[in-house]
Amino acid sequence: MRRVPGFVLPVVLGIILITGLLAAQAATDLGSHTMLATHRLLQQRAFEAAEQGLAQVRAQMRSGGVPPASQDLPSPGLPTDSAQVEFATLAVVALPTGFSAGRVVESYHEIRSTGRSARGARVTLVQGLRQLEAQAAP
Amino acid sequence: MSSRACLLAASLLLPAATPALGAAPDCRPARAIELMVRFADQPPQRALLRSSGTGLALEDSRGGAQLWSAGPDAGAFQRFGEMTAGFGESLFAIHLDTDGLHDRLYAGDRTGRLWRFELAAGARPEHWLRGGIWADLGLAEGGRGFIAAPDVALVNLPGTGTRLNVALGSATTGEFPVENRFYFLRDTLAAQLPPQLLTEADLLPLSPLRAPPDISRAGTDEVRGYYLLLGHAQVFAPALTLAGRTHFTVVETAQPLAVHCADGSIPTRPVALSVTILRTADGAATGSNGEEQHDPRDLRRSLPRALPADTRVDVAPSVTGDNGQRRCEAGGEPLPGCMLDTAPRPAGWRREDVD
Repeated sequence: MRRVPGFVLPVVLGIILITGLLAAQAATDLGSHTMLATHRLLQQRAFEAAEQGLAQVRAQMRSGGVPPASQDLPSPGLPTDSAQVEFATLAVVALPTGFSAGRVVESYHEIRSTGRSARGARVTLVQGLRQLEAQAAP
Repeated sequence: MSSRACLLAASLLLPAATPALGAAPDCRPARAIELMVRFADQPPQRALLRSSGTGLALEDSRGGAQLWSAGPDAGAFQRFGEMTAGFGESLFAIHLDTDGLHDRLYAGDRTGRLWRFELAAGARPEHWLRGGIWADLGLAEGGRGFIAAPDVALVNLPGTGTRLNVALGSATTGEFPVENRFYFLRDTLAAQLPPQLLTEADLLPLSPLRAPPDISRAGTDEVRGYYLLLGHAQVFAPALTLAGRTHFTVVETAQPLAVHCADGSIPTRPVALSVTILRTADGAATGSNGEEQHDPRDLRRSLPRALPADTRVDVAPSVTGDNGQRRCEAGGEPLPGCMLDTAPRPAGWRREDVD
């Protein structure tokens, strides 16, 4: 009886090869996606830390305080996250419309908040603010 | 107490024809105002401007050396023959540009004249002040003048654009009670030399019982200002303008407190005070009870206790709560309907990092 060459083995080997390639590709994609997702998560956390820094300085201003020129504000519950916040007054208008000259001034401030998270993730947000301030009585 | 009742009470306290000859009231020296000035060939410097006799004197703020003076006599650096009444502390200087130097001076004297001077930065002392009497709001027979410093605020008016609003109340400076006023005077930012003289005939009277004057005519025939009748009540302290509303204390007595305060000093005797709040744009009465429920007939809200005659409306030194609101007070008494919003407002946002 003549021996007929089989086709099952090559087919199976082909399937195994293709499956292996697909699995390798999937593993690579998974790794990349995990890395990307982690990066985006950390960027988002840095963004939140920066936003939190802005909010804390705005709250300091609302309660009548003058924020320090530079301060580090840790994010509660996330030891790797924090914001470095810089505060600067850019201009002071001595004659704001509708207010007594010499007794009320309008100041223009800039808050620069750099949020940081793990693996060097960092986001810088800059908020401009204007604020009326009472001048001390002469 | 309504304004009519206040007037009645004031007139009952002292008949108009009777001079007040009680005990001499307490007085305090007039304060100097600090200016940034620059004379020819000199760097900018801080200086103190004060009333001196019937004129003005400018001193170096550190050493006290006299830098400049003005008065009716030939000995002054600048001679103004009409400077015949003291200014006390009715002085106010403002910046109109960004060079850090004061540019204009308003000065009210004790005969009811308001002077306006442009301060010429870099000029020699003999030419530093330019201007003269801007508003003559006194009485022909005298006795009405300015004790309080003017309050100056920038206002945007429909039809006329940006103007300076000069708010100032008068007081009795003679021996007999007189009819006093609170003025809103409109001035331009640009210098006008010589000043175009303003009198009460150029102003519109304000009445708390009527609607505010129609300001729509401002485009063709600009209103130069308003005045509110105060009866025999007086104003000894500068007003405070916040968010387009002018707040001022009114001394509710017809007694001529200032006549006994010599050399431009300021009466401080404890007296009954009230507070008035008017809209700066048109002088309309505004809410003073904190709920905007204001009866215009009740224009002057009495303060609960006697306070020094020179008590002024001030912004409280600290904010209320954490919303950035700072209340107003007069002599420690909180004033409803008067607030300065110091909460920061957004003025731009951007993200600077590069992903």
